[in-house]
Amino acid sequence: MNILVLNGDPDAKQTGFNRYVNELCATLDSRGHIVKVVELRRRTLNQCVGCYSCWLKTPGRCIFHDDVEEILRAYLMSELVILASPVLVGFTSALLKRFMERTHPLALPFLYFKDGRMQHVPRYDKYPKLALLLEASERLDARTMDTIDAVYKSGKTRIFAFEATTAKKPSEVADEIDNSKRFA
Amino acid sequence: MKLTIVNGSPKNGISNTGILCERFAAGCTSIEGNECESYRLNHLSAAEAAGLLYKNEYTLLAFPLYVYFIPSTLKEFIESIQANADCRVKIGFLVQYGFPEAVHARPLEIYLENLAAMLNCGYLGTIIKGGCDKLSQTPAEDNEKILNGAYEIGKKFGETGLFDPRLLAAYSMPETISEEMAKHIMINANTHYWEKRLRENGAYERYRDRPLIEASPPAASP
Repeated sequence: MNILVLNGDPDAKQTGFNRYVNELCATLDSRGHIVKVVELRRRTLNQCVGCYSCWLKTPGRCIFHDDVEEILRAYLMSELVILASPVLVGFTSALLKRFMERTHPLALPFLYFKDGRMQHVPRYDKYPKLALLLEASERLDARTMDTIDAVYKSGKTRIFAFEATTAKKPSEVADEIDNSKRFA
Repeated sequence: MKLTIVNGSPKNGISNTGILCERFAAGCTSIEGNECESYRLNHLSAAEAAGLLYKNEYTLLAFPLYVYFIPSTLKEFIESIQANADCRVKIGFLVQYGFPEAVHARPLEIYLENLAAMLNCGYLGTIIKGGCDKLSQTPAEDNEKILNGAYEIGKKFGETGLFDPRLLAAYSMPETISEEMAKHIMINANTHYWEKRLRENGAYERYRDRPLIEASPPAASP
């Protein structure tokens, strides 16, 4: 399976989480998956300024010509995208959020009705499933986990495969990926 | 009372968030003695922004809903704040967006209540308003209901120092919509707004372009 791991840890010094992500990637690699890791902090990601150019002027393309276009191409080629982040002030990092905002060109401006609420029509035929990988810490209590989960699952056009925390061993997360029938 | 309003929209120029903030501030300051200072987060340096949350007894953080959450610039700002241990500030939030239903912002609302606690602030509430995409693109008289609603919430806040939960609930309506109503909204939004704007830009014929699955351009020669 093609797996893209987006590491949204903004802090290069926070070695524990980065080590975990690297170990998970190595495990997945050893099991035959094709894994691409993007450490978002090492990339240039301009912030979305809500100009709507990617909808209304240059459909499907952002005004910013930074590293995001390359990451979005990899995103669309993947079957699973793992969104990895420590929990900072009760949510995933601003860095990961910055990337998520730049997925705007993957949708059309037009609205449709799905699962009882309005959504934007997808631009592409196929999208990867998503998974959340959060750093287990005292900052990640059940309420925080539920809130993060609910926000990420608000978009009904996104399909979530699973959520995990680093409380599980990397091999257990890899098992979950391997064994999940949702990838069949 | 003294109120600080921070507009956390990453947009340049006129923002829908800014329009609602103005109306809220007008309502608040219609009560004699009230003062309101307004700032745009994207016009400030990190150092200038740092003290804003705790500057006055009340703070309103306002922003557009971006991917069902606060914009990353605002999240970055919040991550940079050292929570004030001895804080008497009460904080409220205003979130606006294009979808008509309030349901899109409910998970965020739970986060914002938690956030107020993490910042050691009292929580006033969250003003949620969908259907705001056209605010900056259409004349004020077309948006009277939305603008007056923000004014009334601001005025009541100016009188009591509280967000009136009944006003907030009424303002955020509809919570969800029926399929029939969705069809009506889709015709209006898709044809009379989005398609119209695409045509104005000469981009309608290309609206379904899928540039990211086309072959990548060849790398430039060194």
